Amino acid sequence: MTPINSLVSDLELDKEMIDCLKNRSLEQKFLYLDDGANFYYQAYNKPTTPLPVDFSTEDYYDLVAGQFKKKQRFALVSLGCGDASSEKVMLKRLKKEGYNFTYFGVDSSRQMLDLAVNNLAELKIDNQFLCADLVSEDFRDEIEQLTDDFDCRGFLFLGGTISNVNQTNIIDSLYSILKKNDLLFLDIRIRNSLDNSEDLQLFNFYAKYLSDKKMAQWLISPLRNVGIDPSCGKLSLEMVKEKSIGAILFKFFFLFNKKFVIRLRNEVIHFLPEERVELLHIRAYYPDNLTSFFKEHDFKLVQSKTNKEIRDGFFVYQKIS
Amino acid sequence: MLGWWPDKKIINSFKQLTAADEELLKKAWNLARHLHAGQKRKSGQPYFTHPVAVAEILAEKFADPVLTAAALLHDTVEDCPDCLMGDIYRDFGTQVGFLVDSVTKDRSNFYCQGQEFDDDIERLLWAGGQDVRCLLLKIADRQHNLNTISHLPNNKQIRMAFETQAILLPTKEILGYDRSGVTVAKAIANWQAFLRRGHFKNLVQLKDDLYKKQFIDLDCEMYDLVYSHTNAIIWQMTDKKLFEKMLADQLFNKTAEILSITSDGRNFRAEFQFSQGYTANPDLGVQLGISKFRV
Repeated sequence: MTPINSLVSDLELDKEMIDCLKNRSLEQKFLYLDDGANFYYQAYNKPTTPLPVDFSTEDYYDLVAGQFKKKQRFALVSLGCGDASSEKVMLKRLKKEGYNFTYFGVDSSRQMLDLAVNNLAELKIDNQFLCADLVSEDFRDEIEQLTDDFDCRGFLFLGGTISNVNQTNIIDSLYSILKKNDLLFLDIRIRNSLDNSEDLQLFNFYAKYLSDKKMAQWLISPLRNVGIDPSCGKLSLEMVKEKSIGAILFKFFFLFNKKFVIRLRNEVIHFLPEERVELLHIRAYYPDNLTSFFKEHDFKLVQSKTNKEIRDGFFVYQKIS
Repeated sequence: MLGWWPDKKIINSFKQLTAADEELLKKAWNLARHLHAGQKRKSGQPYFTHPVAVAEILAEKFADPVLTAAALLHDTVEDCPDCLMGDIYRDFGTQVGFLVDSVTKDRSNFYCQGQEFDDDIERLLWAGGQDVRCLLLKIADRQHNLNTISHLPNNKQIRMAFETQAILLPTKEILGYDRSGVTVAKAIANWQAFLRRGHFKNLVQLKDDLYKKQFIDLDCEMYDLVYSHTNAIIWQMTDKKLFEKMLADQLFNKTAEILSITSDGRNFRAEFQFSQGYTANPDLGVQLGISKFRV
């Protein structure tokens, strides 16, 4: 069994969860802790509501392999790898075609990494797993050390993972983590236009999650895990715009309609009616604006592929300084 | 006999015209042309084209000489320092004078009448009760102004559109202004029937009733607040199907900037602001609500 190197302790996670609840905004990673990982697996692998369609795993291979030469020894770092199902076929093909690489699966959920370890075991590829917070200094130092002697490095954000996290925070972190010439692969949801009707269509799509029991169960799982009764509020969705990135942001949140008090590690948190706790953020980007945003952070666009029908985009950026 | 008209459109709208009526129109045309000479619209066109266009609209629809003459003169007092309200009453009679008076801004009363009004809307609505042609004139004036709204700064566009949506479009609907075969007599009958049905005790009640036809919870106090801070208003709609229908209107889609859409699976709310002037077709049955004022 491949060991998982953890940079986060349970105590640290609990403290972070308490802080998040106090601030009424959960980090996305809490959706994948404890039974959240299983609920996620159920919701995504046996969906009752149509899910967003991503590029096929074959597409991932073409787009990623095209950036490396077989004689190079490269590191593929999958950020927020989850159960690694997005990249499994690509990794298998890279190995089959004779590429010389090591896979690093990084996620803040230990449970998701357990699934990833099992998922990739049969590939027998050179891999390592790291349980870490992507924006932490510890992670930056660790990944630099682990990948120091590779010819080149590629960082993957598949399945729209980058869209779930605070954008200004992650882009500044990526700026620090990536070195000159490192590649960044982004698989994201795109807006076909800046038209209001287009945005409403996307809103209608995600609004279906509200009435999907499996999805709702997964989205509320972090609250249930800390003892909050789901009947004292409602799962809701809000769409807002993030103009500097050209993104629309879908915010799933729990809106309390009754008072509820919880006690966690000697901390007491009072939730009052009309208060909301942010659960999950998902973004859809307008490609030109996204590229401008990355350009402002010294990343140049190397390659892109978009599919308007499924509103999916794959972008390859390279750090230029 | 009619050769003095440089533009036949107005005169051709009348099936028959007495010599006195023709003289009235001729005099109104000449005075307006003289007074507006050298003035330009924001669009750069000679100003006189505006009263002529308003007169054309009204002549074609109502063929009423007094209303048409008033349309030609409607901006003379407001925009020409050499023209006083008394001159219009004296030279064109009390009917034309009253119509011009009713659409002239920044006046708290009427010429030779003591009654004071709190605002232009109350003043106009009161005048409409005396002579419904005041309302017809205001509607045609606004209809033409909206055609050239893009030449105004955005905040003025939005304010003008709001006033139109709140007062003039409901009034237009009640008067049957756009119905085929509309006449001044029919417009009077429609307006009187509306006033009877409404049992309005005062002008404030009448205004409130008009506001509520296209806006949720908009009363006189809120109207004033919105009118003076139009740029800061964030609007909301809670009827999803209607909102989707509105988005299908290209002009709304272009001018409404969506700030947020929220749903809990059952309830829906879209918040937006206007980047330019927009008036919704009353047929859509739009109910706009005020969400908040942006700081």
